[in-house]
Amino acid sequence: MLWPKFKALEVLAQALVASQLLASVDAKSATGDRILVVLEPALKQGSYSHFWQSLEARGFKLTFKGPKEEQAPLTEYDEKNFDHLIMMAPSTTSFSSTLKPKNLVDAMSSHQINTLFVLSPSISEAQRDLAREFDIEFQERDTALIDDFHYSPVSAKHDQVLLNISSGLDSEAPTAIIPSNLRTSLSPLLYQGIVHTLGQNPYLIPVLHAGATGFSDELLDMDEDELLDRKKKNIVAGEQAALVSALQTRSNARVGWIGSESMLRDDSWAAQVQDQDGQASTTGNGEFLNAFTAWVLQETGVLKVVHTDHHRVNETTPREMYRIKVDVTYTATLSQYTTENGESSWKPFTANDIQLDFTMLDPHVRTLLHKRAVTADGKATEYDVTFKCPDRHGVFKFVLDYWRPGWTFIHEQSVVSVVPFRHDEYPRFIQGAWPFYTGAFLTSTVFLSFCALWLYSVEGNKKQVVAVKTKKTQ
Amino acid sequence: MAVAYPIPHVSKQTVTNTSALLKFTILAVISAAAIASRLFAVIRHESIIHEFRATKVLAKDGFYEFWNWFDPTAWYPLGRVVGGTVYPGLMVTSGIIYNVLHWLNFPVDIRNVCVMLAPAFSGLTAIATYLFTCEMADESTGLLAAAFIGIVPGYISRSVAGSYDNEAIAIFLLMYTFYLWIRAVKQGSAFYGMLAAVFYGWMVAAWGGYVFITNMIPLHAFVLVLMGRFNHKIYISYSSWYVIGTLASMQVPFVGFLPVRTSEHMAALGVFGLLQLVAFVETVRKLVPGKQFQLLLRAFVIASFVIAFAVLVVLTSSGWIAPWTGRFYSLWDTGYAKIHIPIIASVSEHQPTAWPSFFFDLEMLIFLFPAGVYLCFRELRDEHVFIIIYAVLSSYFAGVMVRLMLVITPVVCVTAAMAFSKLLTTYLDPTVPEIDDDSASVTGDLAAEVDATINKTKTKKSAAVDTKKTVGAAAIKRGIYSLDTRFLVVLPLIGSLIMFVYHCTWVTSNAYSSPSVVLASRGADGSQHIIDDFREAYYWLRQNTKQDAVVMSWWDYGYQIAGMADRPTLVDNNTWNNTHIATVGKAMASNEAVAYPILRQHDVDYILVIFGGLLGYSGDDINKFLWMVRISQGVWPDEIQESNYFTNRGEYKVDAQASQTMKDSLMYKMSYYRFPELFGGGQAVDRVRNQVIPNTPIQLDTIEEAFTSENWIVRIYQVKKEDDLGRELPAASAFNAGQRLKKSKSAKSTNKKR
Repeated sequence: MLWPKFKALEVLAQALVASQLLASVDAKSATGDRILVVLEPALKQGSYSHFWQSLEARGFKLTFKGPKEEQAPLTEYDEKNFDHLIMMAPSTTSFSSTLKPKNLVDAMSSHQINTLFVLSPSISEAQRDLAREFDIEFQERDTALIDDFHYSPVSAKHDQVLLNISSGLDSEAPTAIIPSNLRTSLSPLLYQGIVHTLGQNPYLIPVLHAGATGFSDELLDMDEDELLDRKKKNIVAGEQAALVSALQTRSNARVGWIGSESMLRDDSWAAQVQDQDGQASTTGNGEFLNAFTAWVLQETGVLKVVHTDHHRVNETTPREMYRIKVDVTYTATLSQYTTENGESSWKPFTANDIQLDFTMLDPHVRTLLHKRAVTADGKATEYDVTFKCPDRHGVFKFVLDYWRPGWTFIHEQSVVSVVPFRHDEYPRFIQGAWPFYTGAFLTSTVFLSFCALWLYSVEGNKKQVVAVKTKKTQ
Repeated sequence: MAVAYPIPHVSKQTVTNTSALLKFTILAVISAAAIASRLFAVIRHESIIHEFRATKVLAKDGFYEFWNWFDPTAWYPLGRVVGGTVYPGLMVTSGIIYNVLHWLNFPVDIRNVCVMLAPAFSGLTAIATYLFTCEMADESTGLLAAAFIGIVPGYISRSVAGSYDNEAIAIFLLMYTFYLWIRAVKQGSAFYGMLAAVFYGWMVAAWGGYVFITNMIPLHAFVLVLMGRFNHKIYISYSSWYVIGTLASMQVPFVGFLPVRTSEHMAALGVFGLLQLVAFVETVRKLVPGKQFQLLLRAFVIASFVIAFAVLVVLTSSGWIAPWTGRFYSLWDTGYAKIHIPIIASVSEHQPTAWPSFFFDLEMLIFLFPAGVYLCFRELRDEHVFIIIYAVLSSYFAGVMVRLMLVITPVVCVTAAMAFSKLLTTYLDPTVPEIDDDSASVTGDLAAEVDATINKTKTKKSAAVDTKKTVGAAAIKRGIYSLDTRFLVVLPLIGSLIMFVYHCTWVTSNAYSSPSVVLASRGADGSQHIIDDFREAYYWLRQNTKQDAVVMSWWDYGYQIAGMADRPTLVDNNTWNNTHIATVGKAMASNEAVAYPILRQHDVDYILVIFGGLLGYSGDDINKFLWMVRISQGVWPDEIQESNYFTNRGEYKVDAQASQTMKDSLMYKMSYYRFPELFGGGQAVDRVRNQVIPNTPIQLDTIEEAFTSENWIVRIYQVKKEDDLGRELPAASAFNAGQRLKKSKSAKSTNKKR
């Protein structure tokens, strides 16, 4: 009886995809529109239909499969079959070959597959191990976020937490991930799930954490002694208790973690809830998840370098070699990919903190790139800077490094040689060398005249010399 | 006068003609032999030459491009201004030869010019030595000296075909400059002085060893002045040589103002000044007779000499004149380099010479050498003084450094030829002095022999005068003048000459003719195995890596990698930057955690190490490793300490007892990575050091093996990029090896610092 339902949903999904294709909705993602959704059998696909619909509405093609199914592999023959992966298998302990943690990490770094991990309190050790590789530590199995002051009365253990975005949003969460209009939204998030903590990994981006009164606790029943023990334990609470986090790898694959599978469910997507005081409100889960997945699936915050160029001032073509102390202009054209109001496009990227390094072992020149103009097609911004080559020859690199959380990491470098003066480029006549010039000319003149004088005097006084000689012999 | 054996009567004209033809033929044959004996390497293997990229640039783009050539692939990322840091003589010489041949429509490849340059110039060296020796003694001595220098191993070691090195042309220039100088001194000719200066200029452009000439010639002049032999010939020849030679040497960009700014060149300047003073005093003395005045003049000379010396000291201490360089000090104190400039001491050819190598390189000549010097003392003309000075200086230098065996070789050949020729002419000379006393006592024999040698020239003349007055050959059947005695001396001499030729050929063929990149070994049945790991690895690099992939290796292999693999290198055989070499040494000597940032900072993509442990190739990097440690210790004494690399008992070991620092060092790990696996559980024996390598597998986190050559001599490792997820590389490789992280260290206790 389950099977036809499933089938019907699939048909529905396909119909949706087809209708969207007919409507010619372009993919909103900058890197591709194929998503592999790994759904463990315990989770019903139908429970998340709002989530799937929102993805499909954004132009993604979804492929569902179980964690142990070998068909539809993530990568094949060292080529990726999917651009994104949504991993909804919190309690799964073993995976099909391409989804094994090692291969998954390989695929992330070599194919830049964006991944969203959706977890729950029934988290398996395999999932916790994998998260540790990213320096994320999930709490023990069967623990959950509990907030005794903000909860839905449906939950006896106060584990259906109603979280205000304003109190739960991390101060470091960049606007590229959570846009500013969402930050002030009043609708609370319904969170029923596990808590994790973040380590020192510099690429981690905290997004959402528990409110001041939220903490992580076991869901099992406890007697008095255990309660006492628990109080002695180091309790993860408040800002430490991260709920939603993100990471962007060095190769710009994006990874997201959501500690609550139920957050995605239809019954909390945009549902009516009551808080502990009986006040009713609509949850903001849908809006929040749309924004978060938009970032993870590379719909926003994507940067690219369209073009870089370097040349001598008053020239236009780049050279392989620049002489020391010449003025060089470096130009970079940057473009950003954003989705605003359902429209995705490449737009000019404007920032005032883009730096250029001219590096040999250490940066010899570090300077700000200045915004010059928007390109003719209106899709990118040109930045440039003119600087003097250092008085040091060697193999230099123009390095454009722009690493900001929430934005695609940019590392662009081009290698040039800085060479000393050519033999004929030195100044020919030096003012300060006057004494030497005069000295050289004087010496030569005096020498020549001495020679002439000497020859003449000997010629003229030949007799005298002879006379002296004869005198001597006498 | 009597003759020991009858001489066929030929006219004087015939003798002159025949001897001229013979001389020419012999010289030509000697040159041909000199060239031929250097071709073993090319015939056996192929013409392998690794560092002639500069010459290629010169041949392709012309002289000015060569002069301004900046090589971005050497000394990455510093780059190298080749035109200003190289003695261009070698490249320019081969460039000129190349262009002349092309102008004559010989389409020769520049590579072949470079390969054959050294043998060709050794042929010229033989001729220069002949001319030089002719100035010292007669022409037959000259021919003998030419034959000696043509095949003596001490010179061949640096001039086999394919050894495209500065020394290849420098020895010819050295001998020819000396020849011209001697000629100038003998004739008092400004023309020859000038010619000597021109060749000196060429020498300066060709080899750093020109300083030897810069000090030899002034020393010769100075000693002659001290001996009271000052005359106008010396004055003229020295002044013309010094002025033109110094100007010529300053035209070389690499030398520049050194001739007026460094202590090494001050002797030449000082002697130049002294000669002016002496000449002035001599002139004045001729014109002014007063005794007191002459005394005054002498005092003036001494005073100005002292003042000049004081000025020199002041200028040196105030920094206007650079003091003696470390390389110079290391000549006087052999321990100096090891302490202060390990980079110099690390070169095997900078080690003090072992006694056997004198015999190995010079064979019997080394025994004749003192005899020849003694003969110079006997005559002691101006040019013989030169030989004596040269002999004394060069025998000291040759004792200090193996490399300077090259400098002593010509003078040994010349003096040995003089001694040998003296012996031969003495015992081949047919004239027998007349003994008027019939009571020739027993001691008389000995006296006659001594007499004969001393008055040889006299007796020869007198013999020519009264040839008619012959006592029959039958009259002297025995005794010192008889034929059997002569044979007794001459036959062993000829035998030793033949032995000499055999020895030279054997040494050349076996010791000096294998290109360093190809090793040959013999199997038990005498069959030859060619071990070609170096070229295999270099071609692997050339084919499998990106064009701009930076390869780090110890500097010995820099030129080979640049030439044969065509990849940028961090350091190479032109060891101009000690710090950069020390950086490479530090990376090799440190553990992975310390080395990795260095590797990344220098954009290193591949590391190449030489490992001889499998084959027993002793010139590998583990044996050079202590020098890497010492050199980097010189720059970072706090981080690298030599003592840490020894066992507790102070031994240099690589087996289980090796110190932890040693085992952690990148060099050790790269050398022995996966080495025990080869032995399949048995004892992994390093055949160079005869030690057992422990079986514990070596874990490499920051680098991974990329290539290992057939006999494991060359091993290439690739440097990993930073981990994509931001982990430490050891953690990443542990994850890849399937290890489970117990608990995230930093995430466990507290959250990020807020």
